[in-house]
Amino acid sequence: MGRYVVRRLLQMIPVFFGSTFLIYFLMNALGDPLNTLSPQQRQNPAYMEYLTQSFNLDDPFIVQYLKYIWGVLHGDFGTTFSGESVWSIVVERFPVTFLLAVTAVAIEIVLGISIGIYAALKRGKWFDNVSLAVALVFIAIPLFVLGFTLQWLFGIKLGWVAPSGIAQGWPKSYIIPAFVLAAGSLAYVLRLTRQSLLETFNMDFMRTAKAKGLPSRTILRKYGLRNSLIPVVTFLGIELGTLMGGAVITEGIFNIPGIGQQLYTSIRQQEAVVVVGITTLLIIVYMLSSLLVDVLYAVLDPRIRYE
Amino acid sequence: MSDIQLDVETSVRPDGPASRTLLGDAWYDLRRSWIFWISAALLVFVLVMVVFPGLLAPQESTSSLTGGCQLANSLAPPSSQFKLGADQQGCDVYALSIYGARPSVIVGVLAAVLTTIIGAGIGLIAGFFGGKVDSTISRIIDIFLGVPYILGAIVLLSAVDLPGIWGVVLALTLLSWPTAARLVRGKVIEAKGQDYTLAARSLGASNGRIMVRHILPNAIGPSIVVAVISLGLFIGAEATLSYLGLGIRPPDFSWGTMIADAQNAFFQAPWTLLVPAGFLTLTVLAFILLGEAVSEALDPKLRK
Repeated sequence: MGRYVVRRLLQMIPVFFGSTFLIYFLMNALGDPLNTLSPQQRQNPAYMEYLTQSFNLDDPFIVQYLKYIWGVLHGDFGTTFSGESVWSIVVERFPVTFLLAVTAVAIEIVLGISIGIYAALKRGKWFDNVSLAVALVFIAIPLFVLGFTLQWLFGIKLGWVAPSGIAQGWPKSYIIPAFVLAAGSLAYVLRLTRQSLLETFNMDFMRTAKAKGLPSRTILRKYGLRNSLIPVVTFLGIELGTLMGGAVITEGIFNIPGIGQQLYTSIRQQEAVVVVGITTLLIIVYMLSSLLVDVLYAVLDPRIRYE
Repeated sequence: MSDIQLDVETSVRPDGPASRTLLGDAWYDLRRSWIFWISAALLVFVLVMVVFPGLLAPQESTSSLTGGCQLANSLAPPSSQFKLGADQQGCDVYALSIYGARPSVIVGVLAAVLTTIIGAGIGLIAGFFGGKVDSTISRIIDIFLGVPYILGAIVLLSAVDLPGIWGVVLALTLLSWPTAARLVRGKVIEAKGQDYTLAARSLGASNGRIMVRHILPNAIGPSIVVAVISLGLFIGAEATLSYLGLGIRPPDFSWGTMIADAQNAFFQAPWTLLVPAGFLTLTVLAFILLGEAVSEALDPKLRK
């Protein structure tokens, strides 16, 4: 197990450099970042000179990247054009997005798994059919359409929560955006749980458990769920990273000051340092959570062993 | 003895019921699935919107140049003149939604076809040759999957100056081929060890022939189902990108741009947003349902 974890960590190194390089390259292809400054700023040669110097803009692209990555490896994530440290932006905004994504995953777990289990138990009955139909609609409806509709319904029409911002704190300000963020995956978790559980129901050990007279609640909990939740855990594991990256639109609609919103602004202003810094962090979260899932596998299913 | 002989003969007779082909079986199942018929009905409607929009609404009513849109009708509620209301420019929302189908669907089809071709090609090479080739390709796939989807699309579309349909197709394909490749790779590795592949090799078939004639047909099934479902999801993604101002741009319009334009008027005139969003959702749903029905029909394990 320990060797497996070490090998996985080593495999992350090329992926880490590759993804940061890819993003840095794309941001560089956006053109000269100094063109996004205001005309007044551009007429100030001293300021332009200062920016060119401090962001190594005169160096060839690959040298810029190496200098940047050298800084990152020393814990220096760089600064924005206006001098604000990228690290402080991240520290300020990361918790907001993290809280939003964690709430979304919690919604997926609670609603997705429980509705999935109930649908599997009621296979073919109306509850099963209705929940599957609703799940498909949730997969089909684009996130921003759902966002606007729920914002209007709960924020304006019913007035249960403030339509935007996070002034009301957790959970009031987070619950609707988190639901919107979770909706597509929620439907997926539901279907996955249902299908996996139905497959497990056909297994011999389930029949054995029933034959020896165990109460059906125990069969479901100790045999059914433990064997059928593995694919669900896999999915949820990479979900946290995906959701944090996908928060751009949700944060935009609900005006939540997280990293998604910051990313969008920074891409528009071509501040490569901020974009790469935040993305790097997201990639690390993504890789660590997928490693965590593979380790969790072995815990959930003793048949899986890593050597 | 002769009894057994007889049994075997009937079961392998080409016109007997037991010898239907895989596709024949799939079609037999499909015809009995109500999901399939719902999606088929929706898809026929989508096809008419894309190919013959003129049958459903006159093109004049989508542009102010032809007198179809008049500011006097701005945000007019649904009435006999505007079946589903008018937007801010006074255009008929119904007619716009009909004509907005074409760019959205074309983006979905192109992105799905390209993703499947590129993904299948790369996955086939990785799975078939294994070793260094496989580990290099797998690492590249990991790198692409590490980049958050929406973020990657935003950066790409800001970087390449390719407005309209092709920019969106490029971005969606570049970010989606790794998923397709990974799926095909797994199936190819499975097929590589099968007896029929070994048989072909022992008969002296070349690598190319084995890959194209024996492995690919056996490995492609699941990715075609995924392609149909992702076709629907790509249509949704196009709308998202156009909503962010990165996809299709004026004077062209799609469901995505209509929804984006409707944002400000949403509370006053909800139909401006809900109508294109409804068209969009139903179209995406149609493709997802089709993928669902086909995958169930193609999976022998689920056969009743």
